[in-house]
Amino acid sequence: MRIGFVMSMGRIATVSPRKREMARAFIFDWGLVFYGLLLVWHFGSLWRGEAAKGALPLLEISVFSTLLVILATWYGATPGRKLLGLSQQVQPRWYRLLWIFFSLMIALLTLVQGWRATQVDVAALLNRDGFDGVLRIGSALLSPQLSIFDKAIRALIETIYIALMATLLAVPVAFVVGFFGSQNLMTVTRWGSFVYSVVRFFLNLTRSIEPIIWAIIFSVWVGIGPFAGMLALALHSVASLGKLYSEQIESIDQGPLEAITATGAHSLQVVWYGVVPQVFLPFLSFTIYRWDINVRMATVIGLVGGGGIGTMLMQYQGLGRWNEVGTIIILIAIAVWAMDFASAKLRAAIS
Amino acid sequence: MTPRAILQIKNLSKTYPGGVHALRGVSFDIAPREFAAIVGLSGSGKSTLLRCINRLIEPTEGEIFFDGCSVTDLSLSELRRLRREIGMIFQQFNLISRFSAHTNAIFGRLGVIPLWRSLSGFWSKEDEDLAEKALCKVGLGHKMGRRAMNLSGGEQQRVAIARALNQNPKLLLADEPVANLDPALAHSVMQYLELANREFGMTILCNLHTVSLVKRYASRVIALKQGELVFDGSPEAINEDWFRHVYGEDCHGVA
Ligand SMILES: Nc1ncnc2c1ncn2[C@@H]1O[C@H](COP(=O)(O)OP(=O)(O)OP(=O)(O)O)[C@@H](O)[C@H]1O
Ligand SMILES: [Mg+2]
Repeated sequence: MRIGFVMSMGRIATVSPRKREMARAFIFDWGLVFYGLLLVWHFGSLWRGEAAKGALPLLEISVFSTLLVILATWYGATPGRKLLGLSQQVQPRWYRLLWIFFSLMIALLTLVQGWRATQVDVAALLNRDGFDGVLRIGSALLSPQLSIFDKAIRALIETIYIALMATLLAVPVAFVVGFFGSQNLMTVTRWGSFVYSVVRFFLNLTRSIEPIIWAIIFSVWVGIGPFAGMLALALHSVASLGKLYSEQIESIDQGPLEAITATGAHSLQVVWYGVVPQVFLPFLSFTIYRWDINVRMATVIGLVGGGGIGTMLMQYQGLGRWNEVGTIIILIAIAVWAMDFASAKLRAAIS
Repeated sequence: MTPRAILQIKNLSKTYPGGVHALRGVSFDIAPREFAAIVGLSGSGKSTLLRCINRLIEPTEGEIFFDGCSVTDLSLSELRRLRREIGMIFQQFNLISRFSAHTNAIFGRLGVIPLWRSLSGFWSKEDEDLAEKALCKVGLGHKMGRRAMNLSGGEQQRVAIARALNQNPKLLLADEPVANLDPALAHSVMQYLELANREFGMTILCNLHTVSLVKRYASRVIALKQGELVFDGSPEAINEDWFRHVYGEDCHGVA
């Protein structure tokens, strides 16, 4: 803490804070103007009846927004400068009105474009036939098809095991990764800092790709089925558990660690007795929670061929067998609720 | 420069990243079996000095010799061997709170217990007996199985002393060992440090805040002021003038 604080003071002292804030304001204003001009161009071409197919004039708009922002910054306050408190003087009325008009226009066009992009269709929502369709499914949900009960339970158990295996596989890897990704243990030496940065980079990269996308990748690799789903979940679990673990390690009390180090212990002993006892229960709690999350995710991943109850749901949905779909949805809901309940109780018990 | 000094500090300086000069050219020698107290205002560099000696903190400049060998240029395994010979006691006790007093005492010998044994927790009979003996020394033989977190502050510090006794170092560093304890308990803990000094022949370097404790227990007093050594001599010298010299003009002593 103390070191970090002192060093950040040092950094501010070398780069003028005002310059940095100015740069931030410029980037903010530029983004605003660029987006505004893009919207204007888009609606302009619609107005002229051109289909929105042609290439976007990104370069022209970039240059134009840069010029505009430079001009505006030179003349007076801009939203970015106001936001960062860089400009206090009162601006001419027309200038302020211009910005207000511009901002309102952006807000309005954004709403209109949002409406268009999601193809909002009130008529479809109020359509009589559509209602009937929903009622059909709804009533089918209420009259479950018990003949597939056995099969569905098996698939559900498969899902829970996919989640369990993914969690079990992820824990030891995340455990090691968590230590290599914790700032307080690693950034003591130069080599350690390097390892820390690399680990952090891969954790963030892996985490930023959704498990469902990993599932698609793995189903191409090892074929559609529970194995692909399990691998996808395991990989994602390593990334998120690794991050949670390392954050927990970063928040430990350094005292016991110092005491163990001072006895002349090996660094493995230092980690084992100085760190692990402090993080064990939080780790356990994170892990149980992860299993709970993995059961839900395994269901979703099943929809893209990751096996288990999700795959089964998708098959019956494709066949339009709504009573069976209803049965499966009810079972999933019960399983998710039960996992949620059990994991909450378990976590409460250990903390 | 007594040739038989167990610890020699030469021109030791420490500048923290960010530019705080915690120590500026500190030099002194400590003879074997001495009980030296280090005093000074908060922020004068006492903790930094102790942590430089076992290299929990890397000194910026200067040399430290322990038992004749240089502390400042050691490989990792040599550093571990050095640390086995230097025990440490902390203001916050720093026990592993989920473990029993007995296991915490065993931890004193982590540097000599084989790695597989220590990681698996299969302590040998010898490990267990030595730890028990150390706990009995500090009067906690009857609370061996108690988890550290369920012990009082004074008891925790005694377990920490047992851990240090079990380590059996030549030098014992103590960083304000009684600052978190009430005055009555302070003496019970200091007496065990005295025991380590008298009975076990350990040299002691102890940061203290209370002048009465310095006078009662120390054979020597070293004073730091803003990272500089401003006094090194006998506790007999402590009087009003000494107090103002070390703690500043505004302070009134209890000398
Ligand atoms: N990790 C660190 N990073 C930067 N500065 C530090 C760090 N540790 C200590 N300092 C600074 O070094 C100086 C000496 O600190 P030190 O902890 O050695 O003093 P002390 O005499 O032990 O004080 P106290 O009686 O409060 O324990 C202080 O100004 C402190 O702010
Ligand atoms: Mg201190």
